[in-house]
Amino acid sequence: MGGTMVQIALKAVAGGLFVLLFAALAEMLAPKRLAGVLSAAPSVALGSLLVTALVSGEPGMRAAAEGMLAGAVAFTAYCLVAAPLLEPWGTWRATFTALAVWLLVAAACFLAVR
Amino acid sequence: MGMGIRLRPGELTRTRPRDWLIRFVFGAGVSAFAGTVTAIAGPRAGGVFLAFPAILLASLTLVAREEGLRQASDEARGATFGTIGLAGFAVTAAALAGPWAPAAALCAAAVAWAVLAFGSFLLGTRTRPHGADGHKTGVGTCER
Repeated sequence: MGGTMVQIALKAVAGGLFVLLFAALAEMLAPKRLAGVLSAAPSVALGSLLVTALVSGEPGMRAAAEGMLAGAVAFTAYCLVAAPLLEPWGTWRATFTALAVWLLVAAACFLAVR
Repeated sequence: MGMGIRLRPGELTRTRPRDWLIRFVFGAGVSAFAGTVTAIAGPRAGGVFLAFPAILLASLTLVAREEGLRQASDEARGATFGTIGLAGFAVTAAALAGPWAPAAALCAAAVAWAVLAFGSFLLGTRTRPHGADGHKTGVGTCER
């Protein structure tokens, strides 16, 4: 239990640091319209997979990356739904609808490849 | 039409320390959540949340409030290209974990993300037709 908590804490710190790194890159990059691309950077994934590989070894890292593919496909669906809905529907309705689509697509992809 | 990508380190001084702290806390929170799911349901289930759109969700909310819904919509369109790279990152990391050392596999996956994300972005903005108002429609609409 203690080891699991330490692992989660390490992933949190590593994920936070990689998010800062990509946020700094987004701030420095010009033109600013590239910031959207960096909003889908693998910041959390890099930190978590690095810790997973160090603690659980390569099989754990491979399994997590395979699961991540389902999330990434769902992330594309999220963007495709959110982009056209933001202007007519407003921020909250559009993003929560897109989030529901993310959950459905991620679950479907996860179950399909399991 | 070409698009020169430049790095301007001076821009970093414009961001307030509080904003950096919020970003760190957000990233740490999502990572901790994915780690908790991994501990409960295994690494494959936890891995799904490594591509959870939390950072974009926060960004869209912020951009919509400060720069308007049209700009937020453009941000979401730009992120679509990033997600293509994210899928490439996952496939590369899964394929190379084992044959390659973890650090090398993650570096290769990060390169795959950058090539796919920025490559598809440049291709998408270059081939997108011009709107009737003379501006580009879609991703390249706004210059921030």
